[in-house]
Amino acid sequence: MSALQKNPLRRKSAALVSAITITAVLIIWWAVTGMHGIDPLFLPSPGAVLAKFAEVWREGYVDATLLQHLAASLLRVFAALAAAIILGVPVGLAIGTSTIGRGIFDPLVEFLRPIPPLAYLPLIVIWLGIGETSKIVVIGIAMFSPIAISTAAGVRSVAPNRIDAARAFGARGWQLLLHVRLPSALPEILTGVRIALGAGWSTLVAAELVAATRGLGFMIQSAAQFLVTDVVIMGILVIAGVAFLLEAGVRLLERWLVPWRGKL
Amino acid sequence: MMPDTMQQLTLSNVSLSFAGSPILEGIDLQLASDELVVVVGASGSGKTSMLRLAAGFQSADSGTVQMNGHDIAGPGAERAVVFQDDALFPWLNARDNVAFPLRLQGGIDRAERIRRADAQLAAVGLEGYGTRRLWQLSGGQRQRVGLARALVVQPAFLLMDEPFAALDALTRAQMQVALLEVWSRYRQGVLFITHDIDEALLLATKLVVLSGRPARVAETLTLDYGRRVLAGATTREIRADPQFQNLREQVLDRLFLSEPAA
Ligand SMILES: Nc1ncnc2c1ncn2[C@@H]1O[C@H](COP(=O)(O)OP(=O)(O)OP(=O)(O)O)[C@@H](O)[C@H]1O
Ligand SMILES: [Mg+2]
Repeated sequence: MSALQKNPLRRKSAALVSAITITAVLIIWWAVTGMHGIDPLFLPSPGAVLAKFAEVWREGYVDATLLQHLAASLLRVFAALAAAIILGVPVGLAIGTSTIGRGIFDPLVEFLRPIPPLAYLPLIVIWLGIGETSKIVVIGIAMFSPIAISTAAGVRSVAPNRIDAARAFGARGWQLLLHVRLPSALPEILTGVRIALGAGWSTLVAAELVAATRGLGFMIQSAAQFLVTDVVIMGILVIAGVAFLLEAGVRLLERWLVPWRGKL
Repeated sequence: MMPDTMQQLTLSNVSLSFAGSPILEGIDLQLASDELVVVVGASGSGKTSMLRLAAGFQSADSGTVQMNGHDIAGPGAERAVVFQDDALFPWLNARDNVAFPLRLQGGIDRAERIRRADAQLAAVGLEGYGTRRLWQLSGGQRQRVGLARALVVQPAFLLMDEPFAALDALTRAQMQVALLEVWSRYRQGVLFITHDIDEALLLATKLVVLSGRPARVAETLTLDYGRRVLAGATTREIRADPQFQNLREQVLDRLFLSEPAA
């Protein structure tokens, strides 16, 4: 933990500075849109965006309410997360604990990691069609590498004494993995999940490019096609807000699941 | 809870080298199940390596490591290990840490595991601490949990690598007494590694001084200050004893006899 997080006074003043920055941006935004000659099509005012938010919340946009768009997107991201954890954690364990495992999976993970989702999207569509599966797969690929890499780093950094102590009590192979390596790596795995959620959430728009009928990314694209700028901006803000909440959620989960982090 | 029969852990003419540079050479060491053998040596002299050989984490280049006349094939539950730190499991509370070896053994139901773990915690002075998480314990208390975890399976031998090195002087003195009490009660053979000469003299029934590069056994002393501590003498009294101070000088001499100038 950084000194910033530990010192409550500093943390408070950091929050204050953030609040001031956000307020300043809002004021500039509001002032700029109040000037003559700024077309709302180019940049709608904060008030207009807020009004649009209320309207889409109540009445919906492109055949679904905001909540339904949000639910569709969240469902995809969490389905992808589940798949990424189910595949990524064992792969990370294999990379972190065995030379053969590292030989097999390391190149794969490193290959997938830097590729932008828009690049593999067409291929996924060719292979899996335009249904829900391909959207989940596109998001899942973005999530897989961070989880596998963090898990591998986690199991590699287990204190050797911990392993040796368990071995002296008779723990072998699977028992070591299950009772010592995996729980030791849990803090890093959760960090991986946090990074993965961020990465997956940011591929949302790409994933919903093809034949979606619901979802925040789809909503933004539909609005962009008809130059409904206020919905586009509103959608972007909702995506950012949800990302913030997801991050906060995982941090809470971390505090609950790995309470020893930073203490021992 | 005394081990049924006398057990013997023996290193005979053991040598070990890392990447071609010899660390230990011709080490002989005998540990019976009622002895408290302390190994002292300078930092980097090979004490930990010696303990790892005895634990079975490492195999010797030459010589034999045997228990009751049989070669050691690897780590085993009859040789429990206590480290300086890092070896407890923070995702478990104190009690579940202590019960961990029982869980590995299998065949003991949960209620019985809890009963034994709590009894063992009480035996090291941590009665009622079972549900504490590790970060709610002091360094000395954590070390007691480590000791209880090692003792719970009633091993024949307890191998301890500088277990009290990270503790403050007062806690350390308390832990030394606690170890002596545990040892006198269960009579497990203890192999105790330290680079603190006073600690070594105070605890040992047999003191082994490692010296030189590669390290050899420079001296073996038979001592019984531990029994005096158990009989009620304070560690301060013992340290003030002129004979104790002479011994300390003697050990210091042996330690640095063949050290190359650094
Ligand atoms: N795995 C290893 N690979 C290579 N060299 C090693 C390894 N383990 C130990 N050594 C070397 O062997 C020597 C003895 O190390 P060891 O840890 O046994 O010393 P020690 O007496 O326990 O020291 P300390 O008091 O500092 O703990 C050191 O010079 C160390 O650098
Ligand atoms: Mg050492």
